[in-house]
Amino acid sequence: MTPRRRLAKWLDERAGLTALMGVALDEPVPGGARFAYVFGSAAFLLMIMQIATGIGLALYYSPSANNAWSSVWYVQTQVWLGWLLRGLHYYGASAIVIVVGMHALQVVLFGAYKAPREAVWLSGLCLAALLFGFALTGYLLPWDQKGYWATRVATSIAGTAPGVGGGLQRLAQGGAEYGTLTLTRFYAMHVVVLPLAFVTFVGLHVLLFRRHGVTAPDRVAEAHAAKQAKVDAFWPRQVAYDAVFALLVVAAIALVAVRTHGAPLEAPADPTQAPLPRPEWYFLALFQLLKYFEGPLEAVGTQVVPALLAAFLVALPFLDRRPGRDWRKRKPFVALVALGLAGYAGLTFAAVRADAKDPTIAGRKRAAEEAARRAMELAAQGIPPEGATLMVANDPLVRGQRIFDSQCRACHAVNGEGEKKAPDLGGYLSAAWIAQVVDDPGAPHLYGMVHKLANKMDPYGKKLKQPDIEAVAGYLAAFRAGDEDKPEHGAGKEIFGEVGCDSCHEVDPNKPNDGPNFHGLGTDVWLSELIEDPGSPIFYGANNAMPAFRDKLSPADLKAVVTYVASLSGTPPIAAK
Amino acid sequence: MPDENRPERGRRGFFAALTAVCAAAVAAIAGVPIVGAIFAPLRRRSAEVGFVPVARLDALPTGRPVRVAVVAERRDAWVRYPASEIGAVWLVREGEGVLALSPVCPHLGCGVNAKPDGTFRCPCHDSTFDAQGHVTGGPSPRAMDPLPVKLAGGEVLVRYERFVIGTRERKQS
Repeated sequence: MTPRRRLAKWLDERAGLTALMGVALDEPVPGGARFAYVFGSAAFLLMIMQIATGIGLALYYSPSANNAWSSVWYVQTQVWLGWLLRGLHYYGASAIVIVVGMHALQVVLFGAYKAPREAVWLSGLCLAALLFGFALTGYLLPWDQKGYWATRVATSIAGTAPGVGGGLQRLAQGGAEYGTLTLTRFYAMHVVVLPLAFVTFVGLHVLLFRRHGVTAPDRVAEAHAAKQAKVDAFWPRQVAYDAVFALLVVAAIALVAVRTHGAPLEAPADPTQAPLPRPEWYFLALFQLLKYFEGPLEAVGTQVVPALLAAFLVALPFLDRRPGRDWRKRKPFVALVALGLAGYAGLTFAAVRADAKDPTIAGRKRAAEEAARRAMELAAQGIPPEGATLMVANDPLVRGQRIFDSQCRACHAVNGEGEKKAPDLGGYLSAAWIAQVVDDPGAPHLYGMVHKLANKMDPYGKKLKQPDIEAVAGYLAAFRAGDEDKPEHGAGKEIFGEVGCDSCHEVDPNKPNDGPNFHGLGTDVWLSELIEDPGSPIFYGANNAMPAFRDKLSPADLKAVVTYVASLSGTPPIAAK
Repeated sequence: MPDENRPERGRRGFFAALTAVCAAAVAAIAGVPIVGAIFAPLRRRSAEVGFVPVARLDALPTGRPVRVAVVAERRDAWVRYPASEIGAVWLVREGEGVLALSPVCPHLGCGVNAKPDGTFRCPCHDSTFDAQGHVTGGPSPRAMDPLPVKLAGGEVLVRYERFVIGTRERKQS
């Protein structure tokens, strides 16, 4: 006897393994194995995979408001293949929603919810509800802007439930406010309570299913009853179909994870900065539905419609009592389900299209991506003990941008975003931006909108050739680093003098003239002085239209804004029209 | 089950093999990053601290060890703690040179104290060491661990290191 057989015999004599395996694998599949039956097994496998990848993540995750984002950053960037682990778990969640949906659809088409399988169907609905619980609790855990705000919306909606709403919301939040206790509560649900409940219901679901067996199409069932149908054992053919499909799903998940390098991570959650929250894709239909029920009708969208849908699904096996499972004989019910599905798909697409066509959404998305990028940059230098949110809020660049948004964007756009009453500051004082000003200072995205300045300076695009404009612009852009006297800017410096720029723009310190003084152009000192008092004779003097910010900004805030404005030279300016 | 319904051995073998291949592929795709995450600490070496100034040379008396704190930034997973005490060091001045000894007893990790005569003694299990840290009695398996020292501009700089306790051979941990 081979060692393997001996081991099998030893185990069998003690644990009855052969019989156990037989129960599992000899399940009869009337009518033979089908690809239509793979979805349940695939959902089961995905559950195992979510648990396994979840355990891997739990080795590093820290559920506190201070540490959650940082721990996810750590897994994403510092742990070997941590990004892939995140990706498998994140896209695995989407995959399990899709596969469970397909499983439910197959069950409806085959009439497998009908008597005597009502209990299997109901336990399946419980599993679906638990799945949404997983999705809701899991989305919050990274404690990034996306997860935090989307979940806040969800718990606020729960709070609108009549009577119990307020208590429900407090229970979910762990208190009156969102904070660390919300996170610990959601984590305990996601990692302990929901998995225990899920595994229990899966056990129940499989046991009940095995009691009644696979639901084959009617003609097969009839032939089976007459003992004339082909019957496969679960092993090996159905198992093989299940395995192939499982591999396809897992490979797809891994592919997406690799292409997007793991899972998304936005900037750390900041209760003071509300972006436009969006739920995960499988909730978009509900999100879109709520747009049609505003004000007093809101409860229809948040409570009534979902309740009706749930009630229909629960009642389905009891409503559809006709004998025979053929879908052609159950057209009204199949049609209702198809209608529901079409509605779900339609609402989802409508939500996506509405966002795609909205330019403010695109702007917010870009801002979110930029904030995420900056947060990752800061995190790489080491996150301070006070946590990632404060790390970002205290960053001079971020603080400066927030101050700019509240104080400056009312006149100055940056790359087209903001009001257009003053020059667009995208690429401000870079060589490219200066070249545009030299070429046509009165352009609408430059000084053209400032009526006192619009015609003060000639458009040198008409007098100078492009290479000369670029040379002068390069010379002026070099002032920031103190490189203006270096030999490579000699030509630009000459043109500056020859063409007569220096008759309006001084380069010696503190000398007023018709145009702004260029001594230290673009340095932090120059920017500070300009923002503090743009009406000074060494800047715009009598032609000034910009308020003086000396008394409106604290020294720390001024420094932060200067840091931000100085950073704009690193971005490209918007193209002249 | 009627015999005609059983697939032939060849097809059964094919499906069994197909299942095994798919199962192995799935296990690999998911398993590699999970196992990697579990065993990641074995691959990582503890972060290195650089040389940190701890004292001025002319503040150190000869013949008597002086205990100084090592203040440096510390990293714990993702957190960077600003400069704080990360450990201590015994400095023994020998003329114009300095010997830096770790105060962690190589026996079981207690803090070693200095005696008035310039030798060292560990209060936990009575290991004793001479003025250079060599074992003169007690259960310590090796001498006190010396730390790298640099002298620059009158300042004494030390690189704080941790060693495995309880072994005869000195190994960085």
